[in-house]
Amino acid sequence: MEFGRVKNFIDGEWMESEAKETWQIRNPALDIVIGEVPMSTDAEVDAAVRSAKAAFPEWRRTPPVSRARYLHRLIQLLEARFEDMSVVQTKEHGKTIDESRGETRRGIENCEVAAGIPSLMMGDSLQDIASGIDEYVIREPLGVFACIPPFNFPFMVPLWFLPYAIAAGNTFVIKPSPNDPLSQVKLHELLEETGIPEGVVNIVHGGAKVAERLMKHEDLKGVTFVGSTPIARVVYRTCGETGKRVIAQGGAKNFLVVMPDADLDFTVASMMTSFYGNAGQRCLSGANAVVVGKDNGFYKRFVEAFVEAARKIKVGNGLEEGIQMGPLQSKGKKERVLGYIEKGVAEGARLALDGRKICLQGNLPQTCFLNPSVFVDVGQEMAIATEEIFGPVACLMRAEDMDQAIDMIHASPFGNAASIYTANGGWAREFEYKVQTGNIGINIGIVAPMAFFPFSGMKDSFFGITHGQGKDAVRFFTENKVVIRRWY
Amino acid sequence: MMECTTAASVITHVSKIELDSAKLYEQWGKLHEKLRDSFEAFAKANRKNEQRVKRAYYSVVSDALETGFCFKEIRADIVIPEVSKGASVSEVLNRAVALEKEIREFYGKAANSSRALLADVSRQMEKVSQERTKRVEQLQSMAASNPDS
Repeated sequence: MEFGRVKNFIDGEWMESEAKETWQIRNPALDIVIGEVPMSTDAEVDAAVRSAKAAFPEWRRTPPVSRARYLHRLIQLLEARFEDMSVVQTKEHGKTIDESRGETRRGIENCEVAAGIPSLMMGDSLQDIASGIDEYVIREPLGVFACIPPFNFPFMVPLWFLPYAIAAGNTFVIKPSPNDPLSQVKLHELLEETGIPEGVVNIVHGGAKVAERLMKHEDLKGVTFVGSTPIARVVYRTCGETGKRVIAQGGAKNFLVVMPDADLDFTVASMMTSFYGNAGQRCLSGANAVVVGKDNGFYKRFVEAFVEAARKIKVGNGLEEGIQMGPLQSKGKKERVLGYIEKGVAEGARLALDGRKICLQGNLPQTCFLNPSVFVDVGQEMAIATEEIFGPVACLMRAEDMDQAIDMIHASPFGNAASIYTANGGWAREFEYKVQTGNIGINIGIVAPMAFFPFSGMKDSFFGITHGQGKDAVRFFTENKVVIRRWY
Repeated sequence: MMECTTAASVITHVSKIELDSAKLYEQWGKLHEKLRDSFEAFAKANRKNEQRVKRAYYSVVSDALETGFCFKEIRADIVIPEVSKGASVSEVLNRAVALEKEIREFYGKAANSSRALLADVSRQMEKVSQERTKRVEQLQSMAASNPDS
């Protein structure tokens, strides 16, 4: 095993878990075991939280500018090991090296933004709210926060939160996804190298049981979660019941609307990333492409171009630089997608490109691989059009006009992202104004907000108030304390 | 050599052609005193170009951009020739012109095909392509000045 059995990081020490139960960490492209992750015990979860709680008072007293300097050091270390960090993600997840580098870059970008905490955390003040009386607001850290990230962006998603939490003076416990925890271990090795005080950041490995214990822990002030909608609901409810702050991001079913004036070459190329990047395993992936208008010729040209482009996608080991799509992260995830393809066929959609016929670049086991699939003439009520597939499957649909396309978007319970492809500013503005999703793309297939903007979401895609990244994250990890002052 | 569509594969090819051709210019410069100053300057510029394009890519690569699909009909098949010790100055210059034209064409095509989807990298490639045009002119002018005399 290339990476061995991963350890917990508690109170500044790498500790072997006493857990008997373990999961295999597999490289899905090669279908080999590359590591092992323990399902940590309750005592280990408690120890991680205790360590974070004990570190909080001193960390809170550390000036924000000094706290930020640990992030500056981390940024330097991440830049120096940029490629190593990216390669680990490809090995544990399967995504292409371009995609892993993108993840690394976005993670670093979040550290850069959070390193501006002395400015971001500043309060407000007003002199003379009545004669001789001043009022001001201070932003204070709260204590211990936990992060429960998903498998699909194992390095980046925790960095939507961790840098802001610790820069603001909180302490942190993360339970990485047991499918791919290696990049978080590597990240915490670098955090340790920065000299950050013991207990400020902690890792405790495990599955649902560890997550549940964290959510219910009385010493935690808040939890961030990114995953499926059913679990996001549970996290939101559990944290509500136990009085914690929560950011819970759920699933998605994103619509990409193609107006009749869209440039087909550009649109199709952009859509390939949206539908098939990360093997479709991201909450910003395109799921349904809706072609607007009654022009059958345009629809036919779009379908042909889309299917042809999808057919040409090179599938294989993401470490090969020419590869455009890697495997699904596990065999189980592939089987789930296969189930949806079968369901789509049974529902009567036409499978114009069947990704079950596997064609790989190189001699690789097919265990976790699928090629891109395209369903055309998909009905709005079909399961493949309404449920989150989380795999490389595109559904092509039609709408008579933009309003009908928007109605289709609004019929979905999800509200993560939607995009429009058009050259018409009026249509684009109308779309942006009317559509109720957290992230809107105009000629953009993957509406991934930069680190200084919030990663938004609405409806069943998001439970909470403030979001990850940027000023929203700072707001989440701080409490406003208002002071009204008079001297006499 | 198959068609390159991913940014990663194109950037690797850029590194290879710029660094290998930098070495080639240095070797040619050592063999021919007349070419030394110009060719050392070319080698230095090539290394800068490699850094410039790579930096553009590593600065903007993100989960939002279409890095897996941003190049079209690009073949990463430029082979940097070996130094042949018996070649005259004019032969070296003619080979350099041919190589530079090939590299210029590669950058031009790559910049053009990635303009919409990876604009920062495209812009740097466009600049390198323009510099290559000037270099071709310089080499042609050197070749026309009876360099073997």
